[in-house]
Formats: sequence, C-alpha cells, structure tokens
Amino acid sequence: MKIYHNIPITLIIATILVVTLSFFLPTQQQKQLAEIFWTEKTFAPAKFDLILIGDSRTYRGVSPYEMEKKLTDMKVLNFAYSNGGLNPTIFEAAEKKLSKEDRQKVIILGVTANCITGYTQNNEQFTIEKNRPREEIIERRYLNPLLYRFAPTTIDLVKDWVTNKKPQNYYSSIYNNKGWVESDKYPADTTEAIESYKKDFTSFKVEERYIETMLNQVNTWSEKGILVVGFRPPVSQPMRELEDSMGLYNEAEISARFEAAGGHWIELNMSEYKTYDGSHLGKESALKLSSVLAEQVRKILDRIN
Amino acid sequence: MLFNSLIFVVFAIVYFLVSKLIGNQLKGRLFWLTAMSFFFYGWWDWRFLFLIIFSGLVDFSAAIGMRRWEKHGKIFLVLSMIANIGSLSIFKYSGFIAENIDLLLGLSGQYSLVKNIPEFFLVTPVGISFYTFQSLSYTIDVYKKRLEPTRNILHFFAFLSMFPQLVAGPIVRAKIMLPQLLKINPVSREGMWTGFRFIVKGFFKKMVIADNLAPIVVAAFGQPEITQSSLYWWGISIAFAFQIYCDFAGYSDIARGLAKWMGYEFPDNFNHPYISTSLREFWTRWHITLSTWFRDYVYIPLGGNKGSKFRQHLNLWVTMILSGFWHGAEWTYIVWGALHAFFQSFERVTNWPSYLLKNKFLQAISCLFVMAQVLVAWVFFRAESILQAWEIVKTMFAFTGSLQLGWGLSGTILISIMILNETIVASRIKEKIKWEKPIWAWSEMIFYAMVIATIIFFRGEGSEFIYFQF
Repeated sequence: MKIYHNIPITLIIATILVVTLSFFLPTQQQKQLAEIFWTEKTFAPAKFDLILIGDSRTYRGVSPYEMEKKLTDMKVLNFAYSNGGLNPTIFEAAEKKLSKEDRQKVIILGVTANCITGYTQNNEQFTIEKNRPREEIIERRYLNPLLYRFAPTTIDLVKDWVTNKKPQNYYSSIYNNKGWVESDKYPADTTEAIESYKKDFTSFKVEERYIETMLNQVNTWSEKGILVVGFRPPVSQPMRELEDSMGLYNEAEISARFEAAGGHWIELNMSEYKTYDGSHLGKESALKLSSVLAEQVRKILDRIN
Repeated sequence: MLFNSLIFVVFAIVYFLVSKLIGNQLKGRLFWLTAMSFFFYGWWDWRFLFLIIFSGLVDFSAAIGMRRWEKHGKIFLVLSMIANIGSLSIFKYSGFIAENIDLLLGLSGQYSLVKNIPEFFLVTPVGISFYTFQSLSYTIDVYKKRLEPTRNILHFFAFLSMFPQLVAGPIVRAKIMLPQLLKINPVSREGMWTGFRFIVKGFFKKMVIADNLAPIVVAAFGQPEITQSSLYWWGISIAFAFQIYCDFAGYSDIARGLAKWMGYEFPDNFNHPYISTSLREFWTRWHITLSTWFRDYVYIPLGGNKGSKFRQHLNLWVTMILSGFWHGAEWTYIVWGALHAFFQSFERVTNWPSYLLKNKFLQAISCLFVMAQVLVAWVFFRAESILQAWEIVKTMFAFTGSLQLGWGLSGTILISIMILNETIVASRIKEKIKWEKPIWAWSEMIFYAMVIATIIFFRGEGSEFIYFQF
C-alpha cells in the first residue's frame, strides 16, 4: 500500500508523542536554563546602573531583584562568574554593561580570597561564554527559551523516575534573570567546600599584584565618578579562618587600601548568614545580603550626594 | 555548521524553499547550490573558502587544459596534484612533518621547524581531505579520459562544494555527480520518504548512539594510567567501534537523505561493516567511498593484484598506510592503517575465512574474529599516543581483572540496540517482510515517529562529527 503523506503523518505522530512525553519525562531542563542564563548574562545589554562582579559567592549570594526593591531608581545586574578573577578582563566587560544614561553608576566587587589569586586570573568561564561560536549563542539566546521543555533526558534519569528513586543529596539551583542563581543544598553540609579550598590554597595565595590591579581599577572608576563598593561575601567561620591563614587574605588591610583608592567597603557580620557548603549562601541568606548591600549603597549615595 | 544544530535546520529550510522558487532553471539552481554551499562552509571560517576556491580553480582549469593541449596533459595533472596534495600537506601535515624532522635532527629553540611554521598553517580546514580527494578524482578521471571536463565553472563548483557531503563525505566522484547536476531530477513522494528515513536514521545514530557513547570513551582514554581489566578495555573498544561507526555513518545517512530531497543520489558509504566475515569484506562495507577511492587511484595504479605475491602485499601495505595517514597526521593513524594491512596480509596468506563459511555458527565465529581484529586496530585509531594504545592492547590480551565492561546502564542499552540491529540485518529478517501491506506502512511511520521522539529526549551532548577533523 502506498501512503502519500508518510512524512506529515509521521511528523504529526512524533509531535503528539514528544508533547505528551514532555509532561512526564524527567528532563535536564536545569542544564538548558543554565545555558540560557550564562549567555544572557554575558551578552546583557548596556543598560544597568549597578553591576556586581566577583565569583560564585557573588552570583549565588546577591539577588539583583532584591536590591532593586531598595534601590528603586536603579537597574541591577549580577555579572559574577565561577572562579571569576577581579582583573582587567572582567573590569572592562563590566563597565561596558553600564547604562549610557546620565545617572549615578555603581560597581560592587565581591572580594573573595579566590578572586585575587592566580587561580582565577584567566576568568575561564567568562572567556568561554564570551567566545562561544555564534550559532551556539543564537541557539541559547533565542531558541532554547522556546524549546527548553524538550530538554534531553538520560537513561539513568528515566530509570530513577521509573523506580521512583529519590536522590539522597542534591543541589537546588534556580537560574533567575539578571544573573542571580538562587541556590541551596539538601541536606546542608557547611564543611563540604573546605577540602577543595585547602587544596587550592596550597598552590594559590592572595597576591599583591592582583590586589594592586584591583585597587588601580577602583581608583580609575572613582575618578570617572562611578561609585565603587567592596565587600567580603559571607562564609562559614572555618572557611574564613582558612582563607585568612592559608589564603593570606587580610580583610582589614584590603578594606583600608580599598577605601584609600577611592572605594567604599561594606563590613558584614558573617554570623548573620548561613551557607549550605561553607562557601555559598542559601536563598534566605542571599536575599538578606542583597537587602543589606542595597541599604548600604543607598546610605553611601545619600552621604556623597 | 553542524547537521545536528538548529542553525542548520534554518539553513536547510531556506535552501529548500528558495530551490522550490527557482524551479527548473538549471543555472539558477547551480548558482543557489554553490552560494549556499560556500555559506555553509564559510560559517566555520570564511578564510578557508579561499583555499577551496583556489584548489577548485586549479582543477577546473587543469582539466580544460588537459583537453585543449592533450600532448601536455601530464603537466596539467601534475599541476593539479601539486595544488591539491600541496595544500593538504601544508594545512594538514606540516606540523606533523616538522615535528618529526625536529625529532630526527634534534632541532630545538629558534631552529625548531615546528616553531617556525606560520600559525595559520597549523589549523586544519574542516573537511580538507574530503574535498581534496573529490577534486583530485576529477582531474585524474579527465586525464585518464574516463570523463569529459565541464566548461561551466558553476557546474564544477556546485559539484566540489555541495554542502551535504562537503566536510565529511561520502566522497562523491565527479563522474557520478557532474551528470546528475546537469539534470533537473523531480523528487517523487517515495524519494522524499526515503530521504526522510535516511535523515532520521542518521540523526539517531549520531545524536543518540554516538553522542551518548562519547563520554564513556572520552573518560576511558582520558585516564593518565591504564589500570583496568582486560574486559573493561574490550568493552571500551566496542563502545568506540559503535561510536565512530554511528558518528560517521550517521553523517553519511543525513547527507544521502538531503541529497535525495535535492534530487540527487549519493553512493552508499556504510553497509553494516561489523557483520563482515573477513577483513576483505569489512573494507567493502566500511567507508566505501574512501576505500574504493584508494583502490582505484592508489592500489590499482600501483599494480593491484598483478605481479608477484610480494608485490601484491606491498601494494596493499602502501595503500592501507596511506589510508591511515589520510585520517590524520599522527603515528597512531599510520599504525592503524599498518595493522589493517597486516591483518589483511595474514588473511590472504592463510585464507582463513574460507574455512569458516560452511555454516551459520562458523560464520558467526568468523565475524567475531574479524571484529576482534578491528577492535584492536580501533584502539590505535583512538588512543592519545602509540604508548597508550600499546598499554591498552597489552591489557586486553592479559585476560585479567574484573568482569566490568565499563559501559554503565546507558552504554549497555545503546550497544545492545546496535548489536540487535546488526543481528537483524545479518539474519535478513527485513527482506522477508511484505512492506506493501498497510500494517507495515503504518508500523513504519509509527516506528519513525518514535525514533524522532527518542532523538529529541535522548540526544547526547551535542558534539562535532569525528570525521570533520579528517
């Protein structure tokens, strides 16, 4: 028997199957949402008044939406990356995201020990995102938002779903617009990150040359009229001690020099925040930190104006 | 631009829509095909378009020169060979050659040849080996008077740069493709359906099988030390065998399907190679367009099966080693080619397959023996270095360690699907089915719809086709 519409009939059956399965199958939507998130962040337009830069502690720890609640006249972007070093690569990119409109501009630096060691100076994640092939960028920005429901799954995921197996430990990451990853881990383990940081600090320490580069930029931006704010993202007490001892991070000295270079340093009471792995803030603490940062920025702005 | 990208889907839709508008105007169709093929190729790196245009212009002119000044035909052939093999040598082999000269003469520092090669020459243009061989076959065939040269430059470039097979084959020879390009071939509904099935099968092989096996293989070969059991490495070798097969055959299937939709026929490039019962048969089923190219333009001109036994073996070894070198500028590929030559020489001398063709069971044994040889050779093809390959092969034949295959659940399912598929082909069940019955027609449509859903939900991490690097 010849069927003259094989292709349309097959495509119709396939569409019904795919749409139906998209409601049931456990897929890796998160992965696709993450891809969209990073591409959108990297290629965000130049329309922001306040930009945050730093590493994962900053992009997991500060919500632009929460800040905008307090800074109602400002558009905020969290422009931090995994292992994001504070160096000219990111300074230049961040400055380009500032709006051209004649309003007060603010740049906030999440100054972790990691950001001013040799380990992060390549800004690897940012560079990868920036240099993605254009077709991938087009796919991620314009097609994935439409198609993420049809994200792929894996045989193992399906097996767990069929056998109703729930993961014992898992991370929750929600990729918000404007660069914040709302994160948590179940169950929380505040010692988890210590070992990997110990390993990193064996080879990499805070170095004067990277502090110097950062302070030069603080100075340059301040002279341009940009308000530059620094803070040390909150971590657990053991992590803080590790960074100070093994990582050679001296907050008192850095904050003093930061202010001498024309910036403003925000002191935070670390015990008020909770991390889920010793290094990164959970959702509630991130919202609190965002709110505190916004209030402090507001105060500084009121003071200087 | 990868077939397995959404950008390509947009590209293909634009191509077919405009082709429909152009209709039966031959010049328009050739122009549109050439322009879109250049766009397709230039998407990777527009600078390499100059290379394909240069080698195309040389071959187009050389072929016309051969006819116009027949007495001096050889000069034009040499010119064409210099241009093609020259550009291949510069862009694909200069690094390898310089590295080995450095090593041989102990050159280093400012005298090192590798360090003095311009950086641009160290970037291998995508698919250079494919279009160079295609172009070479054109001038050789014109020289040998098997083919009349075309005088229409659009016609020539439409053949040379045809996007479905430009970067990873099949290597379609001029005498097959040039006549097809001069005709408007209406595509029947059956042709569309056949093309559709090719494309769906191709995407399944590439995106579901090859891309999901890739992480298993990458993780195994990426280890600094070879510590696992014999069975583990046999398992990894099997995983790679199916990964490379599905990756490459998948590309060929998509290319053939697209060609069908365009009204053209590409030759078959893979015919279930892993059911072969001899190495000789394997090479009639694996990368058919390349092996026939080497047969016709290297093996036979060297003397082929004529001359003394020693000479025949020598011809075989030269052809296989060149075939290995064609794949890449690494010693591992050369050893892969040499191993296949060795296995084939052994097969010719002992004629062992003839003893194993008596019944199905012995045929299955024969098939397993061929597969074992192919697997050992694949280790050299995939390994990061000869040393790593040697360590793996030693482990494979030590027959020690645990009984873990290293596939995990997903690898086991994917490889089982492929083994089942090859077994069905070998048992010829499909030939016994009466496809004209409505039940089968509907079953086939439902089957392909399920395959599409599988591609969408079980696609692996998107990656380039392995053969792009060749």
